[in-house]
Amino acid sequence: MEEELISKKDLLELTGISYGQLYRWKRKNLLPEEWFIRKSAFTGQETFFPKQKILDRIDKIVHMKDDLSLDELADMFSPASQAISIPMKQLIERNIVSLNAAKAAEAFIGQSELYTFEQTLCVYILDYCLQRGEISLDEGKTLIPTFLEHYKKFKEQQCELILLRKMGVSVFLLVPAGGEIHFESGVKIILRVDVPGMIEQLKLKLMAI
Amino acid sequence: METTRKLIITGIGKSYGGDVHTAKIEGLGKIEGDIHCYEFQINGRGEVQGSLRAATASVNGMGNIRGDVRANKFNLEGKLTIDGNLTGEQLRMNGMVTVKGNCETETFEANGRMDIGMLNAGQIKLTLQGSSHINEIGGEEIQIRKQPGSILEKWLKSVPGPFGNKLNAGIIEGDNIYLEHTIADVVRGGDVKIGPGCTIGSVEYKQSLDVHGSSKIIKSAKR
Repeated sequence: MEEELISKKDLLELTGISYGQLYRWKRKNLLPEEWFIRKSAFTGQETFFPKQKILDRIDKIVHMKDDLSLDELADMFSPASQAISIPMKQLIERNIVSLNAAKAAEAFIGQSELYTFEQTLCVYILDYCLQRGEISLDEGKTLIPTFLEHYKKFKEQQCELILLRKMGVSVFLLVPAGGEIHFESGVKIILRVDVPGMIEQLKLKLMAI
Repeated sequence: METTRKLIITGIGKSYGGDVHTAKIEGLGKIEGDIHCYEFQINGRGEVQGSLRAATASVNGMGNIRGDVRANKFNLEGKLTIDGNLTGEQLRMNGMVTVKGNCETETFEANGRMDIGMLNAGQIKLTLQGSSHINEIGGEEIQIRKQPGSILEKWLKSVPGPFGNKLNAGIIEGDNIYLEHTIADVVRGGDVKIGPGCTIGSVEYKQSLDVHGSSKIIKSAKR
């Protein structure tokens, strides 16, 4: 996966933000350190960014910084779990997850009234996969225990959820983000879910009460 | 932090660190581990082999920290070496500072000699005494000035050599930049003012550029 890069100068020109803002956002952890890619260029060292990711992020920051403080924004972008628990009923009522996904998850998470952030995230991802129509409900049922068991191990590292299928057999994988993976022929990648992206979306939805 | 424990070393001593309210070294002390406290103070000479987290920290004398430092307020009078990163809100330094990692704070005011990997701060005010080195400087307000010369310095100037107060930097980027006696490869910013004694490889500016007669700029461009 070769990502398209953008230099700092082009980025500032394109988005109209200043150096000061960029450094400030980095200080506040709105922009993760991994995105600052230092490369040597003819002017000496230059900093590059993954183009799509940084443009998306800056767009969000620019649009939301009037409503939220920078610290609140940082909280939203960080892959760390929020210390919250929320009743499943409310999640369904607010249309964050569908009834089907909630029902499937119930068997694994139990009938508990309150869901932790991690559990909510798991249901949210399941729901997203189901909505995309690329996985069946049965496959979804293997997703939940996989995710719940292994997600913690990544701590705050960014990870990706991948679904493979070969000859009708499906396999879920959780891998660190940004790594390159290759498979034998005949394996089809059905889905790739960027978990930090999902966290961001979920936090956004949870915040909008 | 509810703990009210205090860790005080007076004279010569060492400790394993931990979670305390106040940590104080008066004399010669060593902390062989991480320290997490509300108030941290070294008067004399101290070493922390782990990382330091404190609400306020002050070093009077010599401090040596092997890990990362996180302190909202940091005051230094003397010499400080940090092997890891330094993060905080308000930093005031007087003396010699070495940070091998990155330094990220809201305000950074330093007077003396600095050796820092990357400095990222909202307000940066450096007063140079002796030769400093910073790879990358980024922020909103950047001001780098030279300490007004002393008689001793005028004497030393007659001898060519690595004397004099100057800053060596790779990249300097900010909204408002004022530089004196700085040698840098690249300077990029909004309003850029180059004072006396600078040598800059290339300057890119948005609004204005002002160059003192004694400074040398190889290339400049408005973008």
